[in-house]
Amino acid sequence: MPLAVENIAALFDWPDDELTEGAFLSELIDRTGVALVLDVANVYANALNRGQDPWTELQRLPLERIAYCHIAGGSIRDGMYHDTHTDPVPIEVLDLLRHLTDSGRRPAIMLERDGHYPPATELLTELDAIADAAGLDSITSNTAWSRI
Amino acid sequence: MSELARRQQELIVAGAALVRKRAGAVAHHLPIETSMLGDRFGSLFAEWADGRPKGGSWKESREFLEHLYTIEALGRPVPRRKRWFSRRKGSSL
Repeated sequence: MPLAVENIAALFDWPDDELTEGAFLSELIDRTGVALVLDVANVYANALNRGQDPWTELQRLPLERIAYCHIAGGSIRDGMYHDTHTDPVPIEVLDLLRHLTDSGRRPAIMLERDGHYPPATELLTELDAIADAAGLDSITSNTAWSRI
Repeated sequence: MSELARRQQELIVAGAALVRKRAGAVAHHLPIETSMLGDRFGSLFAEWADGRPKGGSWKESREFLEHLYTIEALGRPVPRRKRWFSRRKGSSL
C-alpha cells in the first residue's frame, strides 16, 4: 500500500520549531520513502498568513515525490486566510497551480469541497478553471454542460 | 504587538476556526434548528462548546439540542391541542 503525506494549512507555527515545513517534509519523505500529496491551497494559505511568497514556498517541497494534488477554496477571517473547503478557489491559488504546470509538473488534481455547494454550473465552471490552470482539457467540453 | 501576544492571537484564531468546523459538523445533524436559528447558531454553539471536550458530532448534536431547549432558544415544543370532543367518556385527550 503506497502511503503519502500532505502539507497542511496551519494558523500558527509550533513554538521553538527547528525545521521549516519544507525541510521537515523533505526529510520525512526522504527517510520514509512515502510520496507527497501537494495541497496547493495549503501552500497558499500558509504563505499568505506568514507573509511569504507562495511559489517560493511551494518549491521548497519535494516536488519530485508528488502523488497527486489537492486544491480548495478559502476565505479571509480574523485577518487570516482560512482553507475552508466551503468557498470558491481564489484566483491566486489557480495562479499558483498554473505556475506549477508551467514548471513542467502535471499531477492529477482533486478539488476539495466540503459544504456550501454552489449550483452545478458554478461548480463546473470552477472545475474548468482548475483544468485550464493545470493545462488540461476543459472537463465540460463536448458535454451537455458546455452548451448551457 | 509583542511576539507572545501575536502567538496568543494566532491560537485564538485557530481555536475559533476549529469550533466553527465543529459547529458545521453538528449543524448537519440539526438542519431544522440550524435554519430556525440562522446567524445565532454559530455563536450559541461556540458558547456551549467553550471548555467542553469534543464528543463526536452526532452525540454533540443531541446534547446541544437539549441545551437549546433548556435555554429556550427554540421556544417551547408546541403542545398538542386539546380536542373539543373526547374520544371516550372521561378521557381528556
